[in-house]
Amino acid sequence: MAEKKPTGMVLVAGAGISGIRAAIELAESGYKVILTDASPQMGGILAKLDYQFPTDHCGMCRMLPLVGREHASQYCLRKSLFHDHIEILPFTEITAVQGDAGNYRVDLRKKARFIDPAICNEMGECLDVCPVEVEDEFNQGLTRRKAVYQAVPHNTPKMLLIDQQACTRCGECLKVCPTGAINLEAQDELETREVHAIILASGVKLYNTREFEDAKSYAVSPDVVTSLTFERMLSGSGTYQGDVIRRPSDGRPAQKIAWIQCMGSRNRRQKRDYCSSICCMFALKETVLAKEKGGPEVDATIFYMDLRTFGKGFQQYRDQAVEEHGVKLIRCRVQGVMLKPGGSLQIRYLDPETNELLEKDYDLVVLSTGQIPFETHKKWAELVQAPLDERGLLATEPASKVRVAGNPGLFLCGSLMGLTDISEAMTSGMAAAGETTRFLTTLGVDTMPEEEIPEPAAHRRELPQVAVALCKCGEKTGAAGLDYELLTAELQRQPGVGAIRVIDSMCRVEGETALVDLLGQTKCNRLLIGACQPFMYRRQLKNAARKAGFNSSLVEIFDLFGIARRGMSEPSTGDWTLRAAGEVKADLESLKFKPALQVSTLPINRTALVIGGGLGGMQAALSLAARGVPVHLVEKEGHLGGYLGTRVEQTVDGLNPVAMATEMKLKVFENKNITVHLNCEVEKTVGSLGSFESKLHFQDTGENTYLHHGAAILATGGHEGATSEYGYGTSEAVLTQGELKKGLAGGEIDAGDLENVVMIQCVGSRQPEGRRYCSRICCLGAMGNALAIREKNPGARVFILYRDIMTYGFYEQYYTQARAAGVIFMNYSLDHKPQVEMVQGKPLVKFLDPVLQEEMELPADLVVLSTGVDPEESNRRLAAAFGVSLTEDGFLAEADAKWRPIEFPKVGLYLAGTAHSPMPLKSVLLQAEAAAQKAYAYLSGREVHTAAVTSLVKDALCIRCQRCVHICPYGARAYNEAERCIDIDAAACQACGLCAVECQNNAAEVKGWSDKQLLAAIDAQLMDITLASTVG
Amino acid sequence: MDMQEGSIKDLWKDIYHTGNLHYCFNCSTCVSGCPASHGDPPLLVRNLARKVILGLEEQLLEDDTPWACVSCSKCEEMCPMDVKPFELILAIRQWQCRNDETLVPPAIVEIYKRGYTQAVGVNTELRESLGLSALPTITKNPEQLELFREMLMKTQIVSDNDYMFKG
Repeated sequence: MAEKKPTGMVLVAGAGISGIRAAIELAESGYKVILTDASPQMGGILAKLDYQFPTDHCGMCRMLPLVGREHASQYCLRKSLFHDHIEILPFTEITAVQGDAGNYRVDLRKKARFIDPAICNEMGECLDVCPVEVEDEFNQGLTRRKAVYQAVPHNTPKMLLIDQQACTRCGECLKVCPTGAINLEAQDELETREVHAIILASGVKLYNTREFEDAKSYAVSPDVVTSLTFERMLSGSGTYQGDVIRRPSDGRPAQKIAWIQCMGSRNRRQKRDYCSSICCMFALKETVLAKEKGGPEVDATIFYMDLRTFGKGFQQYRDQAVEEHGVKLIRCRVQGVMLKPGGSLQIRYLDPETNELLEKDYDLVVLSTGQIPFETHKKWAELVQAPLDERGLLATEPASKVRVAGNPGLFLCGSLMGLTDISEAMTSGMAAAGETTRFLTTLGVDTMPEEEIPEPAAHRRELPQVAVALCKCGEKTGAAGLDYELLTAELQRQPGVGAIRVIDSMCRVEGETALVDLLGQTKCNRLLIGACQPFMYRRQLKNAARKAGFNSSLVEIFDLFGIARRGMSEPSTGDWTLRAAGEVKADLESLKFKPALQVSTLPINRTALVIGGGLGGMQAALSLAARGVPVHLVEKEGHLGGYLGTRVEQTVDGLNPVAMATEMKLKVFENKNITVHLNCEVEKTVGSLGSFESKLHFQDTGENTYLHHGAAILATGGHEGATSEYGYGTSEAVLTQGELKKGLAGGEIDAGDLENVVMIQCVGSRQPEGRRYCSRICCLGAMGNALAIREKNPGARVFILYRDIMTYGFYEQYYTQARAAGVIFMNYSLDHKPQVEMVQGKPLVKFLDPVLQEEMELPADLVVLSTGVDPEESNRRLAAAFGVSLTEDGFLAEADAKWRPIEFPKVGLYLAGTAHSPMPLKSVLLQAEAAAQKAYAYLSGREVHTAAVTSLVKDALCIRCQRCVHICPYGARAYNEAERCIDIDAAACQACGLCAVECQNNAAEVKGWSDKQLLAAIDAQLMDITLASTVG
Repeated sequence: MDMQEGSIKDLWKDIYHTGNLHYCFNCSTCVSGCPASHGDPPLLVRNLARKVILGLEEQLLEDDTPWACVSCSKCEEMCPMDVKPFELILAIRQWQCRNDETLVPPAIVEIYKRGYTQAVGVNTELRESLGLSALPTITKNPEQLELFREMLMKTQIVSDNDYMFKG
């Protein structure tokens, strides 16, 4: 007998959003995950953010699995997460890591909480008596909390704990605790765990005003807050009371609010010569929110140096903030804030329009404080024995953002890559998980076994008989106010109730056994359970029922203590019990009409289709092939390599795309899992996850081929934009950055001959007509070319005329390098663009120096235009072929800008690289890895199950109006031309119910949520009211 | 202005040869808190840095504003790029003197006349509201100002150019 292989086990250190993303991704691929966090709760910084750009609301739940939903909780992810394969250890520190890749031993310290969450009934008696008050860090010190506290107010379960530092050991809480959950002598628990790989996702520290070196200049009053504090001031769980934004010092409304950017960042003096990447968009979002929450009369001003709107949709958001919301942007870094008598905050600044010094008073000042990464990186480097690079950050492999250098079992993601926005945190989480599964497949470890407990079938013809189990919750919560005898008597009278049993603590083994006993004794075919916190125990109790032969869809669990009590401040036992009985009756009636549902196994064709043979496409194909997935790689040109891989030999961050492409091409052609199709485009794709069919048209031969595949990745890239501005096309002395780069590399342009070079950024970009977006890579490209010229010819003068320098994150170092090398930067605005005239065949550049407010003229040897990145024209045809959308700018539109950045709404279809938006090569490769992982999770060879609850079509009622097809946000419905009916993609359907609402003929329905059930539930409630009024 | 004719490429090497200057990204931190930026014309350190980098020799030689600096060092403390703007100002002053031996910095005239390079004793209301006493400016002691002037007259630069100070 072959030895059983161990199950692949991964430690994800850090349960912020990138860690959660990586953990879910690994769990979906069938591996076991230990997800730790040093703080008492999950969610990282995002736990504090209620609103996220561009939608200005939350969307964290979009991280939850779309397929195989039965394995994970399906509710608000800010409350908490449950997944069969993820063991979550909050308040746990990693104290030592030993061993090597594939064989790590990790020492964990589970910090003492002093309250046992398994015993605590969460009624919070201890909160009332605790005499100690300290600042609440969740609200950034704006509010106070007790020593006994709940780390995040919206967490469910509450997971109360005691702050060891603050607690005085007075023992008041011990006296009132009805369950004995408190132990003030509790000790930290030490534990050693063995894992095959580790993903570091701890994030980095953010500044607060106290640690900030320049605090004395800026943080002069409590009304100067950090951007994170401001976020809490806008939140209902913070200090926002629904009317105006109030100053922390005196509660007066804050009407005039200023944001100061780059606090603690872009600062060579403080040895932090980097940009924190996210603060510009964060501030813009906060200005828009400030107007929404504080009223339109709020005056919002941002003091900035470069407004870094480099990402997809960022520039449009900025334009909206300015044009629609009247947000003011002032380009000036200010030296400090002055507290004036009366409490207003004065900012003195140099007005960039007029070069006049102005003073303005504000009610509130928000400091856009950034990241301080070095401490965290140093700590990890010591723990995992990984090298730091010259900047003091964990060194990663040259072309990878997530692979830790020299350690094949170690990865990082999220803000350890440098502070990232949600979208990049998501992408990096998926990519890190992808790299991890690649590593695990080389180890020969196994995935988790398939479902152990089969779903019992149900007999359709049996009359519904419901067993009701009511939890007594260890005699504590229940005993506190529910009359179980009365409740039982009330329910006993209901038709269809076969048995009622009060069981103690169904969440524990004894309770579960009692439940199984009950099911064995009765002839009931449905089960209704009343317990606390159904979302926590749903999976466990349903599994118990399945073991006893119950189809789990015929098991309903309701919140016995929460729902019934809602809206009743001090209910009497009788009132509360009757109210509860009323609600249970509704659930009971609904359950009686509920059909038995089954999860189904999807037929999966393990092949992947990758479209685009550039660096991103090749990376995705190689990544999947390395994990044994067969890949069709489709390229419309006659060769692989894409734009970068055939033209660019050096990027400013030290990569050689041409050499990389050459190496990847070899690997692609050698790999027996990859079939390359050149000179062809996909014309039409039909099908759903696991079984797509694509029609491939070859331009050269005119032939067609049909490919069958289980998933597809669209990585079609882009190319340098065209222009006719600034005399381009009229003189050889006016060229694009791409042409200059090629000329310098090929020797056609000799830097030694150049005296004056003028580069113009944002040509045709970031303006209402033309490209509205920032192309993200042009500033870096210009820095690279300028540095190359200055290096070869230190006598050459290079001017870069720019609007905002977009060297976000650690790319800032190249901006600094360029300035140090003597490159001169001049800002220009759209209403004062540079002019290029031809004088005797030579370009004469005229521009305004905004610093000296003087018009300059310079005869230039070369005028170099940064013409941005255009999407591929073929995107339009491709989008039509796949039934996906394009953005207004012609890039492919992802499902969700923040939370699902590389997925299309329809499950099984993914995008990567410049097809998404322009980005540097490392980000392209990151997205390619992420997309490959998304596809791999379903193509790994494991069984893929749809959810039990999906929508259906009653064909006889359907008039084929296709309204449901158009309204479905997941692309789960399609009109089948051949069969003339509506097809439902059961893997894509998320049972949101929009189709059921939209359908005029009741033809669309969500299984288990039929009208019949809902009307029965309503009737049951109405019956009670009717009876009461008749009697009364 | 014509950059080809009107600017000297490596002028910065003559003036402030530390390399720090090139880190300047015109953020205006130096200006926004500068007390001498209240003057007329204002001292705009950022603009001086730009003139040096662009090599605008003529403009720089005629620029009196470096002499308005009160050496408070705020720009030096706060400059995010560690350009050391105060040292730049001193360097420009020295360069101006090296280039024109007859130069009488306007600040000396101001000092002779007022006792200060700047208008001192403004912001009286603000000082009062913060509970600070009025500044003991020298204008309140005419005898001492006279003694101070006598002292200045004994320096070579003032005595050689006494026509600029008397009357």
